Amino acid sequence: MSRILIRILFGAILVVPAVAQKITLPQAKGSVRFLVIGDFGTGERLQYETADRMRLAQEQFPFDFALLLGDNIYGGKTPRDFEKKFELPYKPLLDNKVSFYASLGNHDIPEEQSYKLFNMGGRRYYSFKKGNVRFFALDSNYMDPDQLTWLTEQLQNSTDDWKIAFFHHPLYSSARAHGSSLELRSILEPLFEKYGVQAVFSGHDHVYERMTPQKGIAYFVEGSSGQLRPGDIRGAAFTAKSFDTDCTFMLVEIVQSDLYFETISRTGETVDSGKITRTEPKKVLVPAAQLGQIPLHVATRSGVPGHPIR
Amino acid sequence: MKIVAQIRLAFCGLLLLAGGSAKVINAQTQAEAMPEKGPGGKEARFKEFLQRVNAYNKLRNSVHGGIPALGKKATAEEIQKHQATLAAKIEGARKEAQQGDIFTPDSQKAFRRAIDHALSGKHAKRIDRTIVQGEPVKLDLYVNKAYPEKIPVTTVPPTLLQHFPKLPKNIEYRIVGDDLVLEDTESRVVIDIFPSAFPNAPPHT
Repeated sequence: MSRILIRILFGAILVVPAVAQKITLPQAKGSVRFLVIGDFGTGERLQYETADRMRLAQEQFPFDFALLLGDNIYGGKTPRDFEKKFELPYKPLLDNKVSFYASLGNHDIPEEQSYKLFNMGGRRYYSFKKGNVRFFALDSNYMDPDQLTWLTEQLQNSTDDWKIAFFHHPLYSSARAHGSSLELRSILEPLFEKYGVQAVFSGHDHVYERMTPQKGIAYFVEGSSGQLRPGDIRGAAFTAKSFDTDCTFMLVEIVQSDLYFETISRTGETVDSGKITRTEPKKVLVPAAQLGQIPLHVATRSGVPGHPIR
Repeated sequence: MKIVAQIRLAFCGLLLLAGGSAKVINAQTQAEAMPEKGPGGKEARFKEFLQRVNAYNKLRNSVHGGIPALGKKATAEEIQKHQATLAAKIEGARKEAQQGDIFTPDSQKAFRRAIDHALSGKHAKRIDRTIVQGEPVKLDLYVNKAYPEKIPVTTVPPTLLQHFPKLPKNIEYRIVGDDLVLEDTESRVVIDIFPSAFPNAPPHT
């Protein structure tokens, strides 16, 4: 049931061999649904083809917003660049009222925090709430004491069921090009663990990688939504699933205590999927200091942790 | 045999006590070496630097007041226009600016000390790795000219930021090659450069 998708763009004909795509996320009533993309703003063929696949995915799985993991606009930053590298490839999503929430990568400029379509509100780090989920967008280029104080206060004050952080540089990655940001990990992970962050999304390495839960936290690298480093994954003890032969994006759905994810390639192949279950904190018996330490389970629909569902 | 074991146990205890004391002394020595406040503290060491940064900030805020503010929901055109206008105003107001105006010789000594302290500590390798992973760049920058928009920024290691003095909003440290750079992030104007602040900087692209 494969078909050929032909798009005419900037005078070039893009031919994408497409597989019939069937989104397997539950699409429960009232769920929080979003897209996750990173390292995409090139304005080149791979970005446009992957963006077109997102459009098709949104037809089946209507998501309301997207998390941008940085490197949103590579190279030049003229209005024409913003158009070519963001507004045009994601026009169908923007037309469908999808809101994009950006974090800054090392190829971005600080002024992007004022760009209306990135919804950063003039801040390089910020938080926002969707349903029972609180999202924390961080600036990992410049993790100064002020930002850490802000993050600590925000996490302390959050009573939301889910706490999800996203930023550019990954705390865990087995890619050759960059790998794990150990210094950042030593600073951020204790905060995430203490205050019960359940999932973290990052980019920077141009691959897809899902880690086995580390200290109860699910980590994802999604840095291949427009850029790609084929064969860059080395694999590590913490690698649960990886994919580095094509561009990808993630679809995520949170239904009460469950977070479902599905990672889809440029050609429409589901390369990873699964579910993270958040255990309800015991409100009376557990001391407040331990509430952040929520057990976390990652399961795939095959029932075997760390293996993808096809 | 029992006596020998007791002697060994006592000896191990003494060693542990000695080790514990050494750790406490070491931590105290480090704290004494880089105190935050008081005479010789961070505020005092960087007093001249911060005075000059604040003077720059006052100047940039005065020219900033003369142009329309950039909203939180700006278009790409508005962002570009605002950056270019502010950069031109700042460049015009600092025509005589020279390298070393803010990173004076005394300030450079204070930064060198802070960098050496961070890079000789237990996190030295991590700091180096942060710079490498941040895609280090080498390019020729000029004081009072804009940082090129096409060039990525290198991650500034969080440990270093803890050792450096806090800057006003819209001013950030950058590492470019082996130089330490002060950048006005709203206009992207390079405020000053401390050349070879990182003499052993990792290889760059």
